[in-house]
Amino acid sequence: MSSETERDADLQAQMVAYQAGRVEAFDALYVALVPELRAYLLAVCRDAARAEDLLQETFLRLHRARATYQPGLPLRPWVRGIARRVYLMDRRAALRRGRREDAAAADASPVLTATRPGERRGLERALAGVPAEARRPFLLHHLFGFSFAEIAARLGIQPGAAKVRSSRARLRLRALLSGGSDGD
Amino acid sequence: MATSRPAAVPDRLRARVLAEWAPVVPLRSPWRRAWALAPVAAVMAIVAARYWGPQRELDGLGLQVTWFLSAAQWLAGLWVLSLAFREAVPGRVLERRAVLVAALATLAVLAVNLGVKDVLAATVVPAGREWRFWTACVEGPLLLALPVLLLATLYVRRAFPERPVVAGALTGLAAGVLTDAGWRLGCFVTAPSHVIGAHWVAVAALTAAGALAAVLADGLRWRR
Repeated sequence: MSSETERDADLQAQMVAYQAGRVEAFDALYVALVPELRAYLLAVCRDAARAEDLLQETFLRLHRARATYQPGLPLRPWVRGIARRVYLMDRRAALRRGRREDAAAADASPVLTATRPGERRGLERALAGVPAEARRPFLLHHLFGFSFAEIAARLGIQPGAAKVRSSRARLRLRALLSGGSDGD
Repeated sequence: MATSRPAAVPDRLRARVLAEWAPVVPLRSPWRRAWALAPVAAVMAIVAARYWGPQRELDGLGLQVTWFLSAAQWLAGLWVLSLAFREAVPGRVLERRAVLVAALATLAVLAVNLGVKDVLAATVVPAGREWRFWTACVEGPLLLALPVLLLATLYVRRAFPERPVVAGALTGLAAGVLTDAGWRLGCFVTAPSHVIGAHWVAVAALTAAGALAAVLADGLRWRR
């Protein structure tokens, strides 16, 4: 927890240097943020090539919006906010272009960790068996790394409730993956 | 440390970023940005208060009921504007509850101002002139709120909102409340049917207009 805070403090310092016009700070931020952003974008759009495009687009938007970061505030939520917006706008553009299949796929529960097709399908099926209200906190926490306080803010619930729902989803998922039909 | 890092940034991205490279000044806090618009908002509120000339009906009410309550409403509008500016910054979206509280608090301020004035100096629309009063009290605030709404929408757009509809709606609500703070002094009618049916409708229309303006302004950013 504290190392996470320290890491974010380091990123904040890099961001301030970036705003001041230091090119090497942009490079450092890119290196530090790419793994997390790539994982997020891959999880939501489930298409490696598209995720890579969105990753570059996110950094371009981040560059254009760099003045909107307020020094002293955590950097990650700001970056995630931009990435999320880039993804949503891309999805909207896809819908407009008639790529409804892509958008529908993007709407489905994101699954990142399963790499083999069989594993992924099994995990998707199991996730579909988890109630939506529990699935969202679970995925936001375990897949995207949001804290329960951040999840609570996004979903308009208490942090404790987010934690409880995530825990329920985990138990349910474990039961489903181990072959049980009921997770409780 | 930094020697191996530049290679990690794809050349195309690096070229596009460097083409737009310049030091930037970080955005100020939402509250300070809201105060930056305060002079315009104050001028428009004063113009609204004097739109129909001095109101003799208000003379007997005293400063507390007239200008003091309007100042309180004006500050509430500025607070809503600061919330809109906060909402517009990535990663700082407001909780649903905060948006609801802001809307209800604003409504409460409007209701208190309406109630106090109506209790102390009840006046109604002159018979036969209801339509004229209604159009004047809807169109007037709408027009006078435009400068604040347009400037605030530019602020919102610059901040890269995650939810332009919410940020824009709060901007419109703030513009409406700020202007109504003056308009409530300019219109001598205190009847709730008129105030709610015209003044509040103007605020609601501005809220919708703010949401629409923010969406349109934000949409320009995403055109490729």
